[in-house]
Amino acid sequence: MVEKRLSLVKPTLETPFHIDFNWWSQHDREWRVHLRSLLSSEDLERFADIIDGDVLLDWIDPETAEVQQVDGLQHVVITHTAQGESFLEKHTAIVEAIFRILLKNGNSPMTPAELGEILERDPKPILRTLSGARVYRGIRPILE
Amino acid sequence: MPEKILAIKIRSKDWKLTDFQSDLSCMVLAPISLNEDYWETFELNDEDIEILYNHLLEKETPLSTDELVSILVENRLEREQQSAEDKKAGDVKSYLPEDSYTVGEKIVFSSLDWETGKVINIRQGNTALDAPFKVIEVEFEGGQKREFAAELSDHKLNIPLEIDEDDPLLNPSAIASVHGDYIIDRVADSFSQNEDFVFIAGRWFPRPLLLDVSAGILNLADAVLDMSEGGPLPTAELLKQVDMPSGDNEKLAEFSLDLALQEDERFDEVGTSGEVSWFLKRQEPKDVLETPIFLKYKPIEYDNSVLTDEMRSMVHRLQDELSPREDIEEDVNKYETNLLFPHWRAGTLPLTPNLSKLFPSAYISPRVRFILVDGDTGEKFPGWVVRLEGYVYGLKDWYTSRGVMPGSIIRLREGENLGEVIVEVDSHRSAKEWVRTALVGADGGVVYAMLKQTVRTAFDDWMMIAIPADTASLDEAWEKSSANPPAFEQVVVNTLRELAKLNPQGHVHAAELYSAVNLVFRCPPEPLLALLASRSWFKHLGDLHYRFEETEV
Repeated sequence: MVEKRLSLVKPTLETPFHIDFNWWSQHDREWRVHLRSLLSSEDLERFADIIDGDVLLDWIDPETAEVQQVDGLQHVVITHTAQGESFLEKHTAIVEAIFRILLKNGNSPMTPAELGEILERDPKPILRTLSGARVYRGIRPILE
Repeated sequence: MPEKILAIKIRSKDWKLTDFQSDLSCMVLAPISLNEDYWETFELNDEDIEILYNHLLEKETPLSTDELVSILVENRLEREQQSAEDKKAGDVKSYLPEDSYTVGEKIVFSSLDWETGKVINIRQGNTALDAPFKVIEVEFEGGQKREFAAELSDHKLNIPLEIDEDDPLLNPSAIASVHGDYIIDRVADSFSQNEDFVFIAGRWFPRPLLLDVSAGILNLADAVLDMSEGGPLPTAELLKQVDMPSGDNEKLAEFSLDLALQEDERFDEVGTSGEVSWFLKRQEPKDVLETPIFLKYKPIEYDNSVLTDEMRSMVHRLQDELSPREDIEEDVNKYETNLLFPHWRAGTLPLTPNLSKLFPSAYISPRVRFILVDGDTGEKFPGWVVRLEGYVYGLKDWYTSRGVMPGSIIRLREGENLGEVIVEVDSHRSAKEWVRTALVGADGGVVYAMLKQTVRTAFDDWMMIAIPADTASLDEAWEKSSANPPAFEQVVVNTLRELAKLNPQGHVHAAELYSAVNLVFRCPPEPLLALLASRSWFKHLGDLHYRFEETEV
């Protein structure tokens, strides 16, 4: 399918967003740095073999069970780090909070309306933030 | 890109499938809807019976029909759901992450618009954290290749598809509420025709699991009950006293003993619903085992269409247990009955639809023993609900002690303890009143006179009849008419003639006639009223008063 140009479509409160790791890795050299910052020093040591090399792991889509090969660091963050009890502790920055919710949720797509419900915030500012010119942490809409 | 998810909706009676797409946020969802008459026309099939039988075997605990229905409904819904999926998938296996697959196998993906693909490769999943799993490579029509997890136990697609709980045909609680009685009847019918199941005190159990109960144990139970003046004794108590080995499962031992007692004619189960209590049949009152002669009724044919609204209203007020059952009134807050001679003489009360709400009932037992409580003195005495014949036995002595007469108003209410019923009469000033009095000849013939009688209870003016202390002649007349019943119309005519002598105008009220006819002949009000309405010699004078026109005969 040919991807539609984002500038020509307008996401709504019901448009699902996810972390587009491919896009992020291609547009932000620091993406690995940011992901690594989410890991504790113990986990950095424990998963050193996986997160420092070019290891690809099988990531299972929580909805469809489809398998995709993903970067080892990405896999550890989603399946281990984000599942920790303190991962969703209050974050003042709305983008950071959304980013963590998506990770915690296995990067399953979520709409601004759903995110607003979890964050107990008005979904409109969330939509404006995510659909602006700047893409934060690879969070992009999924458009048909 | 998220996959759109297909849901199945089975709408019409011919199970036509209509697809619609649901929102992704609803997860994987394949709701079904059943035919509107699905539960109304429900019948058990062999698979239903086998499932319930296996459930009982597994649990080793007797279950009520209600409990079995609940299991059955849930299971049926699951199977219909699976059937809907199978129909969609055809002969192709549905993809479940927990299943194993082989190269070349065809799979249909419910989460991918029911797309079908073929497994072309299998490899070990590469994971650092998850439990081990396999990865199958699937080639879809059109050549697209994608990978999916296999032998993966922890995934939401493994969970059976959800049911739309808003649909009353798919919600187990709604089904139980609307169709529960019908399904219960279907289960009971089916199980009762199946020798693999036994039923006692409202619970079913597989026969092969029952413990053997020897003849010696039953003889001991007979002796124990005999020493308790016949009973009643609960099964647990009997089990203790007969020293039957119960093994690890006391409930199973109780149930086995219950069944053995039930199949032995010496014993009668007399407990209320949900309670099993045993009584020695030979020690039960004769009038409980056999309907008293005064209450026996041989149905009389009559034309229901001739009854007027006024007559129907009277029928409703009289609440005769022999009248065709009306719907039970939900808002009844007082329970009372105007006693009719047959019940007075037999020491019974009519088990009318309304009064039956007050008395203990049972699932199957035809006789239920309970406790009556005198509302004034608190004295307790045993009563028996004779369910099928429609009367409550055990009040003869109480009627005598409280000066109750035919026509007395008996009031009833719930007792403080479960299974107890309080019975009382409103006291009447103990003065002499002019009362319609039956005078019985040696031949059993009855004439009436207005005589001064001591009256101790509140009463119904039309139905009150004073009866001579010695009822031997009346009893003899009942015996005779039982063997050789007189013509109903002749009884009515004779009674009307006699009652007419009590007032100068010769008028007789229909309720008065009903009460007096029942002094010699048991009948509900409808045949009597139909006769009054259809014969020219019964002249209606208004307000259900009648006069006998001799010239019309």
